[in-house]
Order: sequence, then C-alpha cells, then structure tokens
Amino acid sequence: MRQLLFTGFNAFGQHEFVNSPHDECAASAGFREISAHDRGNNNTKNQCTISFAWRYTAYALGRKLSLRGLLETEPGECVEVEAPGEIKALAAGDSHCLVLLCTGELYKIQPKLEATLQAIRLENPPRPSTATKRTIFGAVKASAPPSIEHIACGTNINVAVNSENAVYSIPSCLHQFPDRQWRVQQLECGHEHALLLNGNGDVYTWGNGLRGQLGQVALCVEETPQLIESLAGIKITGIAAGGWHSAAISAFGDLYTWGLNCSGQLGMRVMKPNGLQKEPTVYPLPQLHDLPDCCCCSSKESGAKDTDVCEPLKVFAGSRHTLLIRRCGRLWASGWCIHGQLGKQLCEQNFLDAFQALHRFGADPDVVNVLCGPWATLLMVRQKESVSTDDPISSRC
Amino acid sequence: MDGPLLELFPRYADLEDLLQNELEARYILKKATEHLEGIKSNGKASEEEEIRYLVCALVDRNWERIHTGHFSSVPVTTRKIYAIACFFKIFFLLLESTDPRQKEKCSGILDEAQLLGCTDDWNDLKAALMEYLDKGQVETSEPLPILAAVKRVTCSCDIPQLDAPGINEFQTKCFQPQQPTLLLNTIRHWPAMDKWRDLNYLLQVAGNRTVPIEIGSNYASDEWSQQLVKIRDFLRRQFVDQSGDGHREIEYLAQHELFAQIPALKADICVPDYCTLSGSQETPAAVDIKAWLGPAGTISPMHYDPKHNLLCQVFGSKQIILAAPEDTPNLYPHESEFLGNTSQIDAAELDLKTFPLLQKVRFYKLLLQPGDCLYMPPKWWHYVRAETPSFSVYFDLSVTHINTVLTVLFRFVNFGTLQHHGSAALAAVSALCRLGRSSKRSLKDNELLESESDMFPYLLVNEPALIKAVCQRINQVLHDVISLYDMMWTVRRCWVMNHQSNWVL
Repeated sequence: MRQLLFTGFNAFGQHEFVNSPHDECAASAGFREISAHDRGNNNTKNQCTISFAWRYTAYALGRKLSLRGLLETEPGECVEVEAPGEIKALAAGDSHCLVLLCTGELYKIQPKLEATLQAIRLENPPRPSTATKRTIFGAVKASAPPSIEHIACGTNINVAVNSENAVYSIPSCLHQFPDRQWRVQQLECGHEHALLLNGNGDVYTWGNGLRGQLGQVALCVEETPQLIESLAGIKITGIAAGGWHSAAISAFGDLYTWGLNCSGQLGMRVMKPNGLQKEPTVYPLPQLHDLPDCCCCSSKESGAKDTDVCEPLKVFAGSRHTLLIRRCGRLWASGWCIHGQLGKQLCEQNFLDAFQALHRFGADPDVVNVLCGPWATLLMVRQKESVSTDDPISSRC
Repeated sequence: MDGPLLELFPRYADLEDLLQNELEARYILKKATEHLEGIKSNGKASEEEEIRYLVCALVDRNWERIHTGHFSSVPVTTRKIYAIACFFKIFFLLLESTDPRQKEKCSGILDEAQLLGCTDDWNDLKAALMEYLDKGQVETSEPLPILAAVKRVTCSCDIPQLDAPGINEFQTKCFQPQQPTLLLNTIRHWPAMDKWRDLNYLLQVAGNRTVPIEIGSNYASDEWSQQLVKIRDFLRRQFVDQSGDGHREIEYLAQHELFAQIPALKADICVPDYCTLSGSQETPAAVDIKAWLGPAGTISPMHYDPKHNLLCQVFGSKQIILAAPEDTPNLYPHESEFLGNTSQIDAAELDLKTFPLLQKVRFYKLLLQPGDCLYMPPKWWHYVRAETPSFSVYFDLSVTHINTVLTVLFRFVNFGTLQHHGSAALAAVSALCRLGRSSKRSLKDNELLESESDMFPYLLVNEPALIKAVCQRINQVLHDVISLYDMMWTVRRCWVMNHQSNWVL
C-alpha cells in the first residue's frame, strides 16, 4: 500500500485528488493525495509506474496504460490502452510517451484521444566479432539478444540503454560502451541532455551543454556519452536531471549540482558586491554543496552526534527545481516554486535560491520515492498501517 | 483600460492560424480571448482567476520552450505565442489593479515580450500598451545632469581622415580598398547631437524600457556579467555622481538594438548614405543599428567583427586602437569557440613578455570625438575605451545577411501559400544558422551567396509585382530573425563569461 502525495501544476486535470484521512497532514505542507486509477485494488494500491509530461501524465499498472490531461481540446481527457505485455517503465515527453515492457520491447504512444502503441525498432549496435561466446566444447553459445533496460526522454532527446551497455538516441545507436563489466544504474533526461550512472559510480553526460548541463569544462553539444572528469574517482550513488541542470549524490553523502541556475534550482546563492543576486548564472562544473544542518540534528540523542550529519541520500529534479531526501527522511528543496512545485510557498519570491527544509508534514511521512514532473512533485509514501516490503516499482522522471 | 485599447487585442479568430498545432495555447488563449470579449460586451466575465493562472502558465511554458535548444532554431510560432500570452498576462494584471507598481510590473512583462517574443503581428497593441503603461509614471526624483559639450581636441591619428566625404569618394578611398578611415563632420546634422547630451531627454523617452546591460568594465574579464535593467535605473546609477561610493561597478549598455525597441530615439538619427553602398538597388538594404551607452572607462577588448561597420560618436570620446586582419596570428585570439574573435591581450598596456609576437603587430591609434564616424572594414581588430561618458551608434552594413537570406527565401517559399509565412521564417532562420557557421569557420563571405542566388535573377525579371509583395513581407520576418541571431550571440557570450568566473580548481 502506498499513498501518492502531489503538489504542483495540475491545470489540465492530469491528477485526480482524493479525500483521505491523511489529507490534513499533507495539506499542512501543501501536498494533496491523488489516486492512480488502479481501481482501488488494495493489494496493488498505487503501485503503478508514473511519468509526467507538462500537459499529461502517464500511469501504468501491469499491462494497462493510461494517459490523462490535456490531450486534444479539454482538460481531464483520458485514454486507456492495453500493452502486449507487462509495463516496466514509462518516459513521458511532449509529443509522445515511451513505453518499455518487461520483455525489453519498446513502444511509443502519442498523447491524443485515439492513441495506439507503436513498436519502435532500434538499430543494431555494431558488435565486435570477438564477442562470440563458446561453450567449453567449442560450440557457439547462443546468447540472448540484448534487451532495453532503461529509457528516458526530454524535449529534444529520447534515449535508451540495453543490457549490453549500448546507448541509443532512439532509434539509432549512439555509442557502445566497450566495458560490459558494469551495469547501468540510472538514466535521466533533461530538456535536452542526458545523464547516465553506472555501477562503478561514474557519471556520463551527453546532449546540449550550452547551459552547463553536462558538467564539462566547455559549453558545447556532445553527441556521445562523456565521462564527467571532475567527478571521476568519486563514487556517485544517485543522479537527477532537471530541465537545464543536473545533480548527483556521492557515497560520502556529498551533493553536487551544475547547469543553469536561473530560478535557484542549483541551490547556489551567489551575491554580487552590491548585494544583488547574480543572474542568470551557469555553473558548468559540479559544485559541491555545504548543506545547512538539518533541523532533525538538534533533536538527536547525544552520543552519536559528532559523526552523525544528516546527509542527503537521494536527489530528484524537475524543470527548474531540485529535491533532496536527507537521512532523517525530511525533504529539502531549492528552485522555482511559483506553480507549487515545492508545496506550500516557503518565501515571498517565486523561487528558493538555497536549499531549505520543506514544511513539516503533520507526522513526517515515510517517503519511499519522489517523482518530479516538469512543474510538479509527487511523493510516494509508505502507509503506516500496513507495512509492506520494499517498493518494487521504481518510477523515474 | 479603455475601450480602444481593448479593441486592439486579437480575437480568437485572428489567432486560429497561429495556434493550429498548439493545443495548449489554443485551449488557454481561447478562454482568454472569450473572457476579454465578455468584458467588452457586458463588463464582467467569470473564472477570471483560473484564466489568469492559465495565461501565466502559458507565458512560463513558452519561456521554457524559447530557452530550449539553439536560440536560432526556436520556431517563430513559439515566440509569437510567448508575446501574445504576455499581452494577455498584462491584460489580466491590469484587471486586478492599475496602480503604479502594477503598471511597472506590466512594463517589465511588455519588455520581455519584445526581447524574447515576436511582436510583429501586434505592433499597434504593443505601442498602445506601452503608451498606456508609461502614462502617469511621473519622475519623482531629482533631474539627471546635462553633459557639457566638450571642445574638440587636436591629436594624432594613425589612419587617414576625410572631411565629410561624398559617397563616391568613400567608395573609392575607403570601402573598396578596405581602408579604415576617420570620417569627420558626417553626422553633425543629427538631432541626437544636441538632444542626447541632456540625459533627462533619454530618461523621458526611454526611461521605462528594459535593456540588457553588461556589468564589469570589459566582456572578457572574469567578473563580467549581464543583466536586464530599466534604462532609468541604469542612467541614475551610472551618470549621477554618487560621492562616497568607492567601487561602483561599471555598467555598459552595449551592442543593443535600442532603436528597434524605442522608435522615438530612431527619429533622432539618420542612416548614413555610406550604408547604401552595401546593398544593391534591387535588394532592400537593411542596416543593423546598435547603441553603446556607458560611463567613462568602459572597454571593449581587442576583437573583430565579420562585417563592414560605421561607429558614430554622439557624445563623449573614445580611444580606439586598431590592427589589421593580417596580424591575426600575432594577436593571440582566445581558443574557445565563443571568444574566437577576441584577443587575450590588453591593447592599452602591451605585455610583450607573455605575448612576444605583439612586437610584430602594427597598431593604429586614434581618438573618436563627438560628430566623428569611424569606418572599419570586416575583420579589422579594434579595442575601444571610453574616455568620458559616451554614446555611440553602430551601423553594420550587413550585405551578406540580406542577400543570403533573400535568395534562400526565394528558393524555399512556395508563392501560392505566401500568406502562410511560417515556412519563410523557417528558411530564413536556417539560412542564418548556416551563415553563422560559415563565418565561424571564416569562409569567404560570398561563398554561400553565389551558390544560393541562381534563382534570384529569374524571379526578378519575370515576377516584378510578386517580388515587391514578397520583399515587404520578408522585411518584417528578416528584421525579426536578424535580431534573434544577434541575441543568440550575446546570450552565448554571457554564458561563457559566467562559466569562466565560476571555475572550480
């Protein structure tokens, strides 16, 4: 059982609010519970995969896929489709939504009323001949064809990675990582750039880097994945891609952000000598953050205090906002908040220019995962009455 | 807001073509236009708060679209939707309140519509809104200074000087041999020569407009940044003597198309006859005009421009150091793509130890004084430093732009559907992109032109009436596209600067 708490842009009826007993707690922080249209089946309640685009949201559970929002003429339009197999992941973009099945097959669907799934055929990556595997008797081992494992899309970019670490700019193969010892852990897209995290903790970026999104010294467009040199040697455990910015968290609990800081999304408050904020600012190289002490620290029992800094564990990003989960479970955020992206307004301005704790919930929720839409934030909360096992579904922005 | 102003807002039917493939804009602007019609007919309409929110969201959404991808590849439709959404946002804000603070906020939105959006289809509405918003904004604080007319200084000049040469003389002595020349007494008749020294005049005509300002004495320094500010604030900060404030930052209104934004100022200057040389008789010669206004001490580091240009000095004086294109290898251009036209050297204080090749360079020095006009051929390196508060007007003789774009347009435009100018704009944009790329690789300027122009003579001979109609339409589109192209470079430059200043070592 999980609960979905939403805040942000919902002008097109993408999300249907429900009244729940928990509503009051969430409402104090500006969040409201939404339902995920899975017919209220308690065993699977809200276990769906979700992906946000600006004008619609895609939900999938099992083989069922639904798109809700402004699809043609009116808000609140909805289309439901059944996929040929169980859906593993979604990536919703402006003009289409990518749908990945558990079998590794890839489909796309246009957000309109008469929508149908269309299969996407990917180009074969160049395969080195030496890769032929043989059994100990010398017979050629029939290896399973590689399947697509990760997908992501932005405004001008659609990417996929397969089980043999071939990277696609759908439908053509961009790059084949020669190294197959590691697996891809995470793949994220901004409006026009992509980030990839591998099992070694290395981060690769490609796409449009003219606003510093790529974490590289030069502001330019990179066609193929490039290692972020300045993070090499630091084991990264989580990444996030905002519209024109990126973020990463290391195994040491350090937070890095880079890219465009036009609405405070990097959480870097930079003043000019005259006291005015410097704007607009681009930080092309990852900036290490020194986060303020978490408010939970003061209430900690003495003893473990010295070593116990409440480090950020996970990072998420929307078009112009960034969210952190710190170890105590509290949410911190920075960036644009005019559409309610960060819940209840924390300041009079349209954005936060430094990381701050979000408003306290009545009772702090057990946030399992966060999903950022372009102008929205969705918390996936474990409901306390019935403690379930770990959340098997991971939804990505 | 009164009736006549409301009448200038478009109806839904006027926008239908524009919104054909834009479903969110169609939904939101339909509601907004219906709301406005409702107010016009019976004074009141419902759902105001919701529609206002939707319109604001549409502005934000298209701001994001404009900032995604290359500036040059943003469709004109997106920029038009941004502009019209801004107009409606202003409408809803004024319904809320019309007090001076709200009006000022609306002025800011109008300026953004002008700077980022494409307002061509609604010029009357824009002008009327501008007038409405400026009305009643009284200047409360003390008046600005009137700069004294300075006496002409006699000093050495390393390049030839001509006293108000005729157009033929200019062509044979300057333009054809590509000889930088100081042209004396050529702009004496400009009304600007008398008017602009009175900063209160500038304040009155332009004070409320928002313009991009460069902060920091020169654009290649680490501390450089760019900001959008109101001319009023800029004038007060930079030209009113504030004693006691030791380290005031130098701000520079540089390379901005001020005259397209503020037509009243354009009336004070005339395009010099020399600019007609670059266009042929058939093609409408469009000239880019830019303003450079700042206090003493502003610096443009040693750099070159790809086009013929004229720098006219209205008030104040500027020290200028030139170097020939042949000396390019000795001038240490920056290696980065964005600053490739800028040298790393400080031309005012040569550091021969770090840059030994400078010994081989021949530098030409001169002082540009009010009423003077400097002709610079393409690729000539120049360093400019303002000795006093200064206002210069820069004309760029953009022959290449015009011809290339025109010829490409002729190739792409389907004359049957000329009314539908979307494709023309697209072609113009793609032509400019190509031009941008080619000038970076420093190809010959004419290379593109020759390969693209084969259609042009045929059309010219056979369809004269058509040409005229097309040219008018294209002029509109062109203006738009060219300013976009320039803006792209300004914005890029801004990014580079910011990035350098924030390097982590």
